[in-house]
Amino acid sequence: MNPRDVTQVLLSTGSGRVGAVFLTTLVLVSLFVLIRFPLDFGPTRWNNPASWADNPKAAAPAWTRLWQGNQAIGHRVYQSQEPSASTPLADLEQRTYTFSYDYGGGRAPTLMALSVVDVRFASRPTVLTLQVRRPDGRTLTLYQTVVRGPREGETPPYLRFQDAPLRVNLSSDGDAAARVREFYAQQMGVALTVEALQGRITHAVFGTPIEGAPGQFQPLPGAYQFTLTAVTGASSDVIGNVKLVMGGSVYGVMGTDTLGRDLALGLLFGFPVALTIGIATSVFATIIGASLGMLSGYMAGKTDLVIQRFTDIWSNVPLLPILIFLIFILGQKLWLVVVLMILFGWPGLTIVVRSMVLQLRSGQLVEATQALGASKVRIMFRHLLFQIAPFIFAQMIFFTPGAILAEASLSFLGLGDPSIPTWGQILENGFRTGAVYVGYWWWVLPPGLLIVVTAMTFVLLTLGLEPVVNPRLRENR
Amino acid sequence: MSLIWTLAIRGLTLLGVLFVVLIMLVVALGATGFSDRMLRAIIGEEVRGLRTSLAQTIRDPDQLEATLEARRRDLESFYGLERPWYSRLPSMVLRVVKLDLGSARTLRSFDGSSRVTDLVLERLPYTMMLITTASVITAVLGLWAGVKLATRAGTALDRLSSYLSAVSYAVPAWWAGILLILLLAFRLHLLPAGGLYSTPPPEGGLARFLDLLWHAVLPIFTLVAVSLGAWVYTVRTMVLNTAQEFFVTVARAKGLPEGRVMRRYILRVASPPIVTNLVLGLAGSLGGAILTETVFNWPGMGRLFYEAIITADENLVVALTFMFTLLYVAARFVLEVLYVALDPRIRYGSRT
Amino acid sequence: MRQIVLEVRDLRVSYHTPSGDLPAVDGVSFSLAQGEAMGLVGESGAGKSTMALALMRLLPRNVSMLEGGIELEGRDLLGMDEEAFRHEVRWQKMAMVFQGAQEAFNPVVRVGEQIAEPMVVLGGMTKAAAGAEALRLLGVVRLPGEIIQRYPHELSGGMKQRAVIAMALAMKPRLLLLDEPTSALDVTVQAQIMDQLKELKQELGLAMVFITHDIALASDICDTIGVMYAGKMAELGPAEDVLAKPQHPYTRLLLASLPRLSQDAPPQFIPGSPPDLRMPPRGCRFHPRCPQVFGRCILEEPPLLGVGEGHESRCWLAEDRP
Repeated sequence: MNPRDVTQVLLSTGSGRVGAVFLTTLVLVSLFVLIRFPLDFGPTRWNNPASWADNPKAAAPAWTRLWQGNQAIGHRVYQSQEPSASTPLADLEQRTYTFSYDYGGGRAPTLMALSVVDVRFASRPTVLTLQVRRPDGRTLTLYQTVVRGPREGETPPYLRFQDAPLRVNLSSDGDAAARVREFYAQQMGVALTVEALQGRITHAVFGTPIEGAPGQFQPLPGAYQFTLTAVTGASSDVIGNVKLVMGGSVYGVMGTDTLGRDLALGLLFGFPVALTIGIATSVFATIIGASLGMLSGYMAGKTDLVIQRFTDIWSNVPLLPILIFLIFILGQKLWLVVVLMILFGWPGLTIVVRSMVLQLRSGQLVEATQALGASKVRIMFRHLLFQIAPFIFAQMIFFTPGAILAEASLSFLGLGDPSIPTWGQILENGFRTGAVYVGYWWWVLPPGLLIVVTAMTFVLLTLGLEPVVNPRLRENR
Repeated sequence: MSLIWTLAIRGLTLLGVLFVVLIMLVVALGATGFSDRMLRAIIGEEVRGLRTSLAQTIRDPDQLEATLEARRRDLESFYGLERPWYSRLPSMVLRVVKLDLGSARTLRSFDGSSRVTDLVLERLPYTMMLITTASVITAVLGLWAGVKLATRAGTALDRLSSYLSAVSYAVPAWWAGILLILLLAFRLHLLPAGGLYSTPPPEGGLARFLDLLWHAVLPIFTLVAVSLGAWVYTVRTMVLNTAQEFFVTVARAKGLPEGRVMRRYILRVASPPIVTNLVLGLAGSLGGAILTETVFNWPGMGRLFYEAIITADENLVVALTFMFTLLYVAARFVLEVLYVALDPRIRYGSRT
Repeated sequence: MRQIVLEVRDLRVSYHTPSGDLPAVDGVSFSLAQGEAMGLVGESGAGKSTMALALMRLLPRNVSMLEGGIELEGRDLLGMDEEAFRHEVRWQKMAMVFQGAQEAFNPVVRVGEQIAEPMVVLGGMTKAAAGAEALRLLGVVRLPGEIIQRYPHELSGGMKQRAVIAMALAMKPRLLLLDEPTSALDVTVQAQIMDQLKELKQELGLAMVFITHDIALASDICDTIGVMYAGKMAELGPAEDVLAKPQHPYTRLLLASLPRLSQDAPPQFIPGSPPDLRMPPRGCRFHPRCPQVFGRCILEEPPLLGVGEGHESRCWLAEDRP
């Protein structure tokens, strides 16, 4: 049976077709990820809290607004490289960046953060001021800072916020809280305690005080105009990028975890990882298992006995406890997981291939070739392999989900490789931080579902390949 | 005679498994330098204990230190710490077998002991309860459903079952457990999400026992659900394969009623391969127990394994790896005996 | 006086296959009297085994058509209720020795138990009485009594074949169907078993349907011989007549294919292969392989034509005879 026949038989069954469609999808997504994601995505992005700071924490996917309605607010990010206006001011220059935020009156934004990257000045340090004009016409200054001046021995142009941006989380910033209290005292005549503002700065910014209920705020819907004013000393001074984030309660396609990580990205990165684990393990385990099985079945005698006894023992080692132990002692490395699963994965195939070879060996074809003087190795690899190849191929596919599931189980027990995010690890994070118990379903359902679908893909392919392995089925079709 | 011979071979193979695992344990421990750390910790503990008791009698601090140092050296040579790790292999194997692995880092048994032996043996019954109950339920349900499906081979129900078995193979036990917690415990408030007893535990022996059963429902259900599909399918295939055998046709020709043909000619003959598959599924259900206990916070050896990993407690991990292997080997042997009892071809001849 | 035991009238059996219906038995009729043996001879695929399975009502599930009449001692077997047939006819009135005795025994039950089982389940005998009877039957087929305690895999091929015959005799049936009972055995064992069958036929007055591809073997024991070709009876008649004066060209070729000691001519093979019954040839089904084919054979299918006392041949050549 040549590969084209195998494909044809596979595609003639329903489960084979579904499996092929799934596999194609998995491979395409994996290729996309390999092209678009950096290979060090794990350490530099996924496990780097700084890259997720501006995301809402534990936010449900954006499409849950379909049924959450007004309960949910979207995540808004405003970015600008160029000022909306720039006016000369004596010997200085004033640049303004304006962002308009429409507040519907429901939940206040979960986060309010300002970031500025890459500030350069020639002589006078830049002064930055963030103000918001509310729908009631009042203006509130949220933040003001002067960029650090020249240090000793520093020569112009002075570079600031190159590697680490200036980032202020206004929704929890003490200085911002003080400004809000000042604003309420002066413009509304309401004295707010520090405690009343604890964690409620955004409620105050987007609301009005409720009489008789200190610390409670009535949402004030309408258009809020945020203005960042930068006063620079010269027109040649640079402000690279200005970013204002109004955190939502929902985020992206797949939501976020408690660290604000975009789960969609983590899940995407899991595709090539899962496929690589599954395929690498099954290919190598199959090669070892089939070779030993053929050797054992063909050589007979002592070689056969030794291989058989060893296979018998080796195949009975309970996999999961040993994997846990070895990974725990030798280190949490993904390549090690794959190597160990190869080491423990081959015996099943050896036993089956050996018995098939024994059956074929007594067959006339091999006897005939032997009589014609073909060498032993040649016989083994040309004739026997040719006959059992489709079976070995089907076994390889069948073995693939086992490796993926085993890795997921290890990850779930907290033994995943920290430098490479996998679906199992995302699930483990969710489980360990108690996502299950507070109902963060978007965190635990999708990775599990992806593991199941990937494993199912290979199971379906195996079902589709059954006629290849079992010719009797092929005829009855 | 050949019956004993067959069993002896299987028994030797299983002992070989245990031996291989033990060797793997101690070599990994020795080569990574962990066994040194483990022994030093034991010695340190003993010396600390000695210090508190000697502090009463020996007043001079210098003399105390000297006595303790001498004792430490004695212990080091007793445990063979001055020799390379591979020369200590036999004694290491013995220590693992006896679970003589010192004390756990942070975990304590219910009555406060930190000895690894106490911890492991205390958790063992809970794991056994979970695994045996789930295995028995799975085996019985699977046999019943598998036979039912075999008599309806080729129907829509049969096809559906083959897809369900594929799904059941692809769904990890722990994820199924999480789904069940989300759905049954948190959404519908039908069953407890985990643990052994309610808080506070009910008074009275019977009430407590019923509470325990009530908490065991979800873990057992999870274990059964994830292994049942594949098992039903196996039974169905075995029964169908046997039903196509020629002697079944002969039995029908003999005018035997259908029920008798099913029992004596199909099920009886199919039982050895069915037991084989039960044997092969055992390792899986053991692994399933580790994960299921973790998910449901069921304080058996599996949950202990997880806690040992999380707290990086090496002594416990070693002990549990060995215990799980031991449990597996013992259960395998019981099933081997059952297999031999079921098949006269093995009882009186060679295994093919 | 011939007492008719079995009467088969115009039996038709078709199987359902993906590429169309396959008529395996296509209008076969014959009758069999007490103490008589009838040989059904033909190549594989001629419909012999389907005949036997139809008689036992053990046809596989993919049968798409079953028509005609089967009467055993005057009772209509095809119209009978399944449960009544199982309870009253199978093994009690009509037993069968199957092709492939090697796989006829349940591997995990002792041989004696398998022989005695129908006596207990159907005949209501005690286990002890049934065991004693099984022991007697093993004696009838000349097997040592200790076999009762043995498992099937401990018996040789010849022993199993005899045990299968003993099993078939358990309920003292009137009719014994034998489907290639000796095909897997070597020649000496085959001869012993044939001798035993002959003895049984005489002593017990059994009626037998003897199914084989070997016409010589059939001639050894049978009173009547039916030669089947492609689901139809090609020639039917008393054994001596069919052997001595074969009328159908196919019968002649079958006989010519036998190796004989007394002749110098080497055995001949029948050229060609049996037709695909899903698309049988027009006219006579044998015409593509017939050495004496002529125009009419291709156009019209011949009926069974009388060629002598109780001797019929499905061949146009027979029409010329008086």
